Order: sequence, then structure tokens, then C-alpha cells
Amino acid sequence: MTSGSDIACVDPLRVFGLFGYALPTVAVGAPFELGYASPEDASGAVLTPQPAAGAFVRSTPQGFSAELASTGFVVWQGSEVLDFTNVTARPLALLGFLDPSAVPMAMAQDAGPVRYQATAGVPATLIVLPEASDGTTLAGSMECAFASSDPERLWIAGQGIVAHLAPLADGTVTVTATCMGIRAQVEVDITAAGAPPDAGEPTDGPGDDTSEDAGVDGGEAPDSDGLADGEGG
Amino acid sequence: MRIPAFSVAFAVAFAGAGCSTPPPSPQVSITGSGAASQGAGLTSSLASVPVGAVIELTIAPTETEDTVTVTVDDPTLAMAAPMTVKDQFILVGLAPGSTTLHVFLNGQETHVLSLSGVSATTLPVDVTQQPPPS
Repeated sequence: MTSGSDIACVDPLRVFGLFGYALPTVAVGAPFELGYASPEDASGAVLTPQPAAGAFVRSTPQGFSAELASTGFVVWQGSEVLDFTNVTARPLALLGFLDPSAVPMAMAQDAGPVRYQATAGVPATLIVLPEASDGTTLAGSMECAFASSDPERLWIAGQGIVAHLAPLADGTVTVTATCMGIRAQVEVDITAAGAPPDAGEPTDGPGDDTSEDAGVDGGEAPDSDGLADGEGG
Repeated sequence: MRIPAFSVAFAVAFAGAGCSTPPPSPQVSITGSGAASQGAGLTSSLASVPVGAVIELTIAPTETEDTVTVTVDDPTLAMAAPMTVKDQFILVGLAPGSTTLHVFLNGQETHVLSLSGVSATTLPVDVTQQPPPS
């Protein structure tokens, strides 16, 4: 992007804390939205970033979708350009997992199976981190599919890149996330409520989430962190 | 009588040394500005912009406050547009190929340019195909 550009992604969920004036790299084909710092000019005219060359950008109900490595967006004010930026897009290659309850947020992926600690009866949230081949986190809205290897022990509801977990009984369950054709797995070790975690195992799982409405009836995902009401990534 | 003769000799020697008329002072200076995306930018002989991308150019008169306007030879290959900031322009790649940016001072085209500090008469524009995202 041009230095000093005031164009930004409008949805913080899609940029994972990078919200501001630094545009993240987006995943090829994943819709994203852009906004301008001042939504209107002095005359009330709407200021919206538009593709500089529309033929190379797909417009979807969820936003723009970039197919090129570098896609220009321009904010027009009449016949003049108020601002512009180039959005970089890279193919999705890896999926990481982010535990939003950990401080700082724990992130593990890539090499070997990822393990995660959970407590039966305590809902938890995992966020998938889409990444390029070199580990660069990619923004963009994408629908991921989540599957539990043992739904009797671990119930999952997915929304975008967010997985809501309802651990039901102790044991180890494999969670598989699939986003835009890329798969990744995380092993979830569930301990019974009140039971100490296994010796030597980290305890930085989502156990500090004590929401009571972890019910699994009605297919309603536990809304333990407020993320579930937002966009899916 | 000797002084005029010396003057003539000096003038002949000066001309014979291969000195040429110095280039006129550039009327317009063109420089790249802002961060360019991969494969985009301005050199002393060429502006390169990938298809679908945007670069920013500062195109300013060197000695006057005249208004600068620009056009592109082939608008199917590239688009040039002014920014709200004086002397700032964007160049957008539309299709692969080569074209030329023309610079006008108060509506009069000028061929006396300084391109990244180097004298030039025109600004060739090369619109390149983007590599696939990697």
C-alpha cells in the first residue's frame, strides 16, 4: 500500500488485531472489505475504495475477492484520486490454530500435531489462522468446516474461521478444520471437570472460560467470547 | 589586432572540442512516490506497473507553478489520473503492453522532462503481466 494511505480493512475480525492503517495480505479468493478513514467528504459524498481496474477483481456479497498478487484500490473524489492502496494476495497454504483465551494468545501449528487442553463442561473457542506458505497470516473471509472425531466427547460448531467447542467427556479428540481446501488437525485433550491436568501438560487451554450456557441442545454454539456474533473471519 | 584573432581562435577551439548545446533545463520533473508493489516503479527510463496495480508519480514543474496534466497514448493499456494533492498522479495498469505518458504544462505538451533525475523527452510506460500469487 502507499505510505500514509487511510484505506483499511473494515472488519477487525478479518485482520486479527492489525486493524488500523496497515493492510494485511489477503488469501487469494477470500472475500475482504475495505473502508476509508473518512466515509464521506465535506459534501456528503460517499468515499469508498474501488478496484482501480475492475476487470481483475471479483465482487461478492461478502466483499472483494483478489486473484492477482497485487490489486489496486482507489478512493475517488470526483475526477481526482483521494487515496489508493495495493492489496497483496497470496494463496492459502497452511492453517494454524489460535486460542483466544490464552494471554498472550497461544499459537501453534505447522510441525507435528497440535495439542490443546480442554475441560469437560467448559466451552472453548479455537480460531483458525489462515497462512501463506511462509507463515504470513492471511486476512479474508472464509468458511471453514470443522469436524470432531468423537462428537460424543467434543461437540463443535463452526462459524467462519471460528470453532466453538463444547467438551462433553474426558478423552482425546481430533478436530479437523478444512478451509478453502486446506486441512489441519488439532488434538484436544479433555479432562473431567475438577480433575487435575495430566502431569507435564500445559494448562493454557481455554479452561478459564467459565460460561455456563455451554449447552449443546438445539445446535446453538456456545457464545463464550463474543466472537460468534461477528463475521466469520 | 591580436585580440580579435585570439577570440576567433578560442571560439574555434571551443567548438572543435566537441562541446554541444547543453540540454534545456527540464520543465517537469517526474519521480516515483509512495511504496510501490512488486514489479512496479519508476526508473530513469521507464514507468512499470503490473496489470491491475497502481503506482504513484510526482509530476511537478521545476521552475513554475503551472498546472500539470497528463494523458496516456493508449488508454486501453494504462490509466493516469490526478490526485487531490497537487502534482501527484496515479498510474493504473489495465492490460499488458507499452504506451507513453504525455505531460502537459498549462495545456501545452512538454518534452523537456527530468525522469528520476535523468533528462528525457517522454515517459514510456510498461504494463507488465503479474506473476501468479505465490
